[in-house]
Amino acid sequence: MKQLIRIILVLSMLLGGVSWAQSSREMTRIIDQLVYKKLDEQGIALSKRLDDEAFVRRIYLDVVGRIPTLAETKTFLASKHTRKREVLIDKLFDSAGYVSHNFNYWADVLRATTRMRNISGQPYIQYIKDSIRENKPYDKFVQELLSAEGAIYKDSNGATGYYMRDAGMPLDNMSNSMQIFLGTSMVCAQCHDHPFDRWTQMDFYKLAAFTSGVKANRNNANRKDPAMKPIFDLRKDARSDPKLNRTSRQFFDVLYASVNNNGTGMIYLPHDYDYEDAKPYDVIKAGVPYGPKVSLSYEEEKKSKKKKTVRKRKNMPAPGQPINSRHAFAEWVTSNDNPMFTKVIVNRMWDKYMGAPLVGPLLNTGVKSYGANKELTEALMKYMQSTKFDLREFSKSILKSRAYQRVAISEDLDPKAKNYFAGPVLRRLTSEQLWDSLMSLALEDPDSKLPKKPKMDTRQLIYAKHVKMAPDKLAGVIRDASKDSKNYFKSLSKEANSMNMNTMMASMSMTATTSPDKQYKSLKSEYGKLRKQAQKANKKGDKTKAKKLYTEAKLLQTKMEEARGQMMINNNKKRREFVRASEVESPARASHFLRRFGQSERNIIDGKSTEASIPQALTLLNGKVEDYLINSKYSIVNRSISEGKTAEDKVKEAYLSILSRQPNAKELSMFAQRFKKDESQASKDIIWVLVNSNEFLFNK
Amino acid sequence: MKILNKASDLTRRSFVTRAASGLLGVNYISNFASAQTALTPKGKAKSVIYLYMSGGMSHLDTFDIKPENSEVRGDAGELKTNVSGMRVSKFFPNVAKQMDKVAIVNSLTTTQGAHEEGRYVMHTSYEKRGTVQHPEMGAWVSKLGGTLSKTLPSFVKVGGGGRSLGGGFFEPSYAALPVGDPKAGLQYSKRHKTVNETVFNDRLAMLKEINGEFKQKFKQKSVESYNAMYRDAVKLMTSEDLKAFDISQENPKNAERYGKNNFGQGVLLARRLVEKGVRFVEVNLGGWDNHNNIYDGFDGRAGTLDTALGALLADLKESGLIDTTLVVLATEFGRTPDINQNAGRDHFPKAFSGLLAGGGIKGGQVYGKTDAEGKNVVENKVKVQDFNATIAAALGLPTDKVLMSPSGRPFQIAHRGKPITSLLA
Repeated sequence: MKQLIRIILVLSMLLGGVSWAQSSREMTRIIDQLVYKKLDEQGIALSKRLDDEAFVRRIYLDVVGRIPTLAETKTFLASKHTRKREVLIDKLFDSAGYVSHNFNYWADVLRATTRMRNISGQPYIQYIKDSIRENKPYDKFVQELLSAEGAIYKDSNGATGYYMRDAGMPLDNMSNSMQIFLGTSMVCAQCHDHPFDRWTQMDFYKLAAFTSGVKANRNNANRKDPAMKPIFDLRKDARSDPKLNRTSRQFFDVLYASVNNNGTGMIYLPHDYDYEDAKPYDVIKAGVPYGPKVSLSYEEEKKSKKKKTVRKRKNMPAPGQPINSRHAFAEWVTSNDNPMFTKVIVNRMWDKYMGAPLVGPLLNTGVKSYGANKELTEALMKYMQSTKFDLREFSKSILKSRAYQRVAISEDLDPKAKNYFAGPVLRRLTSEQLWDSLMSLALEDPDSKLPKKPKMDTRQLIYAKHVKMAPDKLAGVIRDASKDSKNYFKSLSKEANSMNMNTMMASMSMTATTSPDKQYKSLKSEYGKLRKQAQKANKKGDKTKAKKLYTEAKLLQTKMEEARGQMMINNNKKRREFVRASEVESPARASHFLRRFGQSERNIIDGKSTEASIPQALTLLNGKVEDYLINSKYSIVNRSISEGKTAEDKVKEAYLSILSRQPNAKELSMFAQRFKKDESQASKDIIWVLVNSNEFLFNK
Repeated sequence: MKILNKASDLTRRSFVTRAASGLLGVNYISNFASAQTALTPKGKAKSVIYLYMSGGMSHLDTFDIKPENSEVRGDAGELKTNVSGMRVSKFFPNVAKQMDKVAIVNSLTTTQGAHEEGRYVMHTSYEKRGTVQHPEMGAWVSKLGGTLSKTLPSFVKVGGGGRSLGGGFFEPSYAALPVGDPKAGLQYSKRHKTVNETVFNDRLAMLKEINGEFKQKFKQKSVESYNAMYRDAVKLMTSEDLKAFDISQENPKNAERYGKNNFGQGVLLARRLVEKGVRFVEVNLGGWDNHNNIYDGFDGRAGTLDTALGALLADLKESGLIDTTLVVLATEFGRTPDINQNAGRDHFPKAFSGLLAGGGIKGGQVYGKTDAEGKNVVENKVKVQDFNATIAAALGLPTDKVLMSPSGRPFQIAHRGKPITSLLA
């Protein structure tokens, strides 16, 4: 039967030819056709189709970055909808979990850290999250990063973080841009011609000329502006006044941190330039190594009478005036005619979901390579452009394909051999997926704490309040604040918090009821009162009244216990460490679970690791899993197991919660026996065993 | 880890994997293992205890004192040491008794005047860049020198010290194992307090049973290596060597000699680890960024260092490990000779001090000299790269060996630093 389907598919393709996809559904069909065709040619057998259980686990991991909760698994498995997989995929792409998971991914690519040298990376992080949330077209996103300009705290201007991240290292920043967005590794050419590729140092400097002059600095206040005098006076005073110094920094790092100069389009060659086509310190104009030519209009140089002599030294400032050459660069990078831009993001998205790249290494893709399945690469590129770089639509076309919905390839692939994708590649969960999956076992709704909107923070508030203030007035504010800076910033942070609360409350007002804490307290006091009254009646000898009151109290007691449970569940939810990885600082501290499982330090592009280590095993064997899930009666996995009526039910609940599948007969009988013997111990053991199992650690 | 060549996956094994494989005789791992057991040349050190003074330790108040110059000497005072002609500031009475093992380097100079950049170049010998992450000395030492212990990691970082684990572009296995609290030892290496041995073993048996099917289905190295890792982790939990991480095993009186604080106990832990074959232990002490009122509490900070370092050198001498253990004291830069208007000293990269002591080092000497103000190096300038090359040479490691990063760029252990031969034993 399967063979027949394949023959039909191949036939239909041969007859009809491959057309360019106009919709995600059409693209999905083409993916399947072209993948099967290649496999057929190569005589490679397809992996088995994913069953619903394996599908639901994989799709949650790949789209929202965590295993599904028990309720989510049950809902999906029970659904009778004929296209239930597609429906779920569409739903997940619109969820807060998608934003969270994709933030982790892009934070690795873009090296977004909470602290960037001495400056906060928060605006950058926020910008990345917002861009994912609003599904900003990828080409627009890249354009914004590459041409960002102005104050980093200006509203929605976090893209400036892209240059701020590499402040003082514009050449490195250019190397990174070429690798991330164009899969072109030119880093060698920064210092000399590339030894085994075609790039020359001249090629590199022509590119670097586009971003020449960019000034990313935490203190870009304009010294030449006479109106700024009060600020510079204050700065002078701060030198001998540590309190004023500290306070003013908190203001300046927010108000004057900015990326200036949109590119002069020319650059000096380095002092040690050693090729025949030019001399050290020659001025080079911007140019591109491939793709459509870019022409810049340079300002006519003012003819001054005196010929300016340039003092030659290392790290010379950029020659020329800003002419927005960064914008021209961004246009070139993201152009549909750029031979690399579309190919590189197609390659990246394929790798993200299938576990291996389609074309070549993500950061060194090759201008001429199209991978083992050129037809497929080209079809996906066409489709990417026709969606106008809508990464959600594009991703859906892969995820809805039968090529994706197959069991992972069971054998190791020869790293040198071509991959024809008989199925996706088996992957260990990333550190973030693993952590977030633990959250899915601890909390009923692990995504409920994800912000639905950008959050206000103290620094943003400082910016908003003071950006338009006249410098003399501002200097006064800072001097006043420095007298009691602790309280000043405390009240600001309170203000920011209350603004966040207001938006939160507004979104919650529909469902807001009395808080579990309050409810429990009031029930408890009512219960106490009834008991007292009953005792009184008893003393007075009014047995009937006493009995009635006791019965009432007893009824209330059940309610009270329920409320207490709710309160404890709520407290569990409120635990500070119980947040998704995207909400932990970036990168997490060195000893955090996330780091232990290979979270990127976010210093180099795509720097994560999924390799095994003993500290990881120790963490799962003896670490917090025990506290978070097993010993906490209020973890959702524990509650679900306890709700199972029979021993068998309990085992099933555990399996569905942790591995998103039913136990097989052997597993069921092994654990059911244990539940019959000692329920409380069995419940602890089963959580431990399943969380430590290979199956939990891997995305199959 | 996309930046690494996929082909090198086979050789990328966790440090502890390699280590534990020996203990367990897990042969399939040793087939891929790249590290060799270290062969240490005679007269050279085997391991390093690297004490990092975070924030920029003032050279003028520690090891490059200028008692004759009232303009810059501050409140450093002066102490004679057990080596005639060598003197240190008044804050180091314990270290003063050990100077016969110590070489003071008073002519260090760096190009970096900001903390993060300074810390980076000191640890890696390279300037911080946006396109590559350089390995720190600790990672280089295990990469070039191999491991000494079959069970313990070869690079450990104790206390603070930023977010970096120092492995740089080397395989993840060369990154440091972080130990936050020296008293807590190796995290999670004991059974959870609510789990007894029977339950633990019972669970392991179930785990093995459950994993069987998955292993059958996915015969892949990544799966295999997790199973090996679990076996090794369990062995490690009961291994004798693990006691090295447990400072409560130390005689309490002796432990107290290192100072009852995190740094002191960290140095004690470092000594225990080195005794059991850990190659490189870094211990961090912060609080040296004395822009304001430098002498408010300087005695406490310096005292913490003095107590721990004094005890360490004495113990190493006593046990004889001083011959094979190199002790390094490093910081990102010095501090300005002029005392500023806030009674503090600011960053000063032009000249600063560090110490090298013990294995592979000719102690009892002061190397290099600054002028009367402590402003300029006037004799035997030592660049950060030279300092690190000297560490490498004291360990008998090749400073000219070139290793390629995954993108094919060449790097050396101390960049292109030259070992200072007169510092070497």
